[in-house]
Amino acid sequence: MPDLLINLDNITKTYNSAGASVAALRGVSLEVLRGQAVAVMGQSGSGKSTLLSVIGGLTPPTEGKILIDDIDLYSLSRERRADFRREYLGFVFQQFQLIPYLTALENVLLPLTTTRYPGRQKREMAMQALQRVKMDQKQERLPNQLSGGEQERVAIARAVVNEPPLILADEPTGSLDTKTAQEIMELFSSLNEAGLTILMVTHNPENTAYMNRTITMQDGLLSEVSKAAAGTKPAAAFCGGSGQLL
Amino acid sequence: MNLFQIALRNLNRRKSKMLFMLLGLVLGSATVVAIYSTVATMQKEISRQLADLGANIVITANSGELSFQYGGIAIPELVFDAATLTVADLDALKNIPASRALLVVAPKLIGTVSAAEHNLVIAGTDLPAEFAVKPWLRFHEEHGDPAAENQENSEQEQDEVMEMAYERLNLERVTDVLKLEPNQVVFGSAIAALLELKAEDTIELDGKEFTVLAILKATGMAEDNQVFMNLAEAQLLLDRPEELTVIEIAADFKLTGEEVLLSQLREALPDATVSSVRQAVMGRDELLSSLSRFGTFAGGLILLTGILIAVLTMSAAVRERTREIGIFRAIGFRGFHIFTIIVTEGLLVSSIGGVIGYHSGLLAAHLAGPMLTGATLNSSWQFSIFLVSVTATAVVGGLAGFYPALKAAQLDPAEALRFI
Repeated sequence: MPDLLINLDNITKTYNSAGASVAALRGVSLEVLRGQAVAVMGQSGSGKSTLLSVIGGLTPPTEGKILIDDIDLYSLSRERRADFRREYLGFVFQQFQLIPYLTALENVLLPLTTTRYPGRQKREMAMQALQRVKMDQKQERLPNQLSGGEQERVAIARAVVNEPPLILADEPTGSLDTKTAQEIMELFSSLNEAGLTILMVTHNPENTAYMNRTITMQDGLLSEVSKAAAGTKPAAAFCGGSGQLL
Repeated sequence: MNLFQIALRNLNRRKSKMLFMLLGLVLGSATVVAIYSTVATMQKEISRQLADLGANIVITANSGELSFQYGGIAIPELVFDAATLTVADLDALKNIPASRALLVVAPKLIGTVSAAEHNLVIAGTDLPAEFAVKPWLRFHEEHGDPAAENQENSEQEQDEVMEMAYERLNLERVTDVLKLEPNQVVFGSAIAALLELKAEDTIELDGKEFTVLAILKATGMAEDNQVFMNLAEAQLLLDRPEELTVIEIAADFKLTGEEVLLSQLREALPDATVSSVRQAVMGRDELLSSLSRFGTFAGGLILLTGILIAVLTMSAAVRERTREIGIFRAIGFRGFHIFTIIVTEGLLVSSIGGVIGYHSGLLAAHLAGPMLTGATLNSSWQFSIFLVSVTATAVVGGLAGFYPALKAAQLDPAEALRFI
């Protein structure tokens, strides 16, 4: 019995703007097993960021049902969804998005701020997360004192600090040079090998080499699928699909 | 890392904007405190002055007064048709229906005599009555007046409470203070210093010899330049038998209403002017109340401006932080957490504004006091007022942050992240 972490059932998302309706997602179904690293590719406006936002509990779908770890995400209240995000999800945004007035350590501590862990334990968890991304030596630096790659590492540490089962990453290497991007992708790969499930939106086809599965979005539909055995890289096989993915 | 620290760090980052908000709150708070302190101190001062006034009714003779101006320059008023009060008027006072309310009646004849190449103002009085209606009069210590000394000792022991009691009308002084013999005089401090006189000295006034019974302590008022003597002796010396210049009365308005008593006195002495000191002071107090109301209104307006500045600054800060708020929400902050951070920022800034505003207001009252009242106002630091001021400003800041905080808490995280 496969250990299903994400289960999207016929998701549609329509935005109404200035009297016109724009369908960002048009009946998307997707299943992601625990431990998979999935790359979501597609052109701008294809709906991949909306997909990430819907899975992240940030944008309610117009229709369809989303189960994450068997929890019906949008049956939860807005505030309970915030709790869910804190416990189940780690976000890595475009442009790192660290809080500029907090140090690297404090940025990593943020997701733990509203948890009930004792202060000392929070600090230990944050330090472990920084060690995991090899940034523990620069814990007291502010974001503007760090390079792009270092900021990305801190952003990844922030995403994993509360040990969520799922990491959602939106173009994490978009603003990095090739070498740094490779290092970051290797970091993601190692996190995946450690058991974390990763869903990553990316424009860069080279990044798919570090993922064990790739899906492509076009006009709000899943139009292309590649599938590989979990824990292998790069993705070795591609196959067309009807939208039902595994 | 907790919500308070996040708020503190953000304030530290946005110093200039927060200083602007702080300035608005300080200005509002300082204005209200300055007005309150000035008015409260002035009211306290008037209350003290009112308490000082042993006499609360003054009776003088009717007279006509005329002002002259030459080319716009005024010369002192001319007094004409001056009537006089007489000793018989004192009997008339005793016969009014509410005579029981007249606690002390202090008649006085004022005139000038010559002594040692000086013209001296003499006041023929009933000294015990004079001391009763003017509680601030005291003999210089050299005299060894037992009543005064005892009172001073008790003052030292019982601090300000007794001091205030001393300043009020003291009927015991009617019996405690020695009556002046016909050949005795009491000198005011300034005139005694001028003539280099001390107790037991003798002096000739209009050719008649008097013994100086005592010197008065300096009062800073007219008494410092007067020579007090027995009323009958003064009438004799000035050759104005039976005549009086002024009658000062300490009346108990609790026994008889002020207006009723004044009416009876005016009826008994139709040719005299009966004035209520209390009404004169209260007239000034009414002016102060009006000033207080105006000040409160102006302070309220400035405070309102401060609140608006705070609301606008906080709202702008929240708008600027939309992206940040989106990140907070995405990583699991509840709306309540966002609300707490922003309201905490408002409370922090406004509390600091309250502390600075209170002290600035006190300083402003101290500096502006002489300009407003012609006297230095001793607006003292009071913990209760400080607490009220800081709390009120903090509440204002908290309220100013409430709306932006509510908006931030309700921000759609997906919308907020679109700013990314």
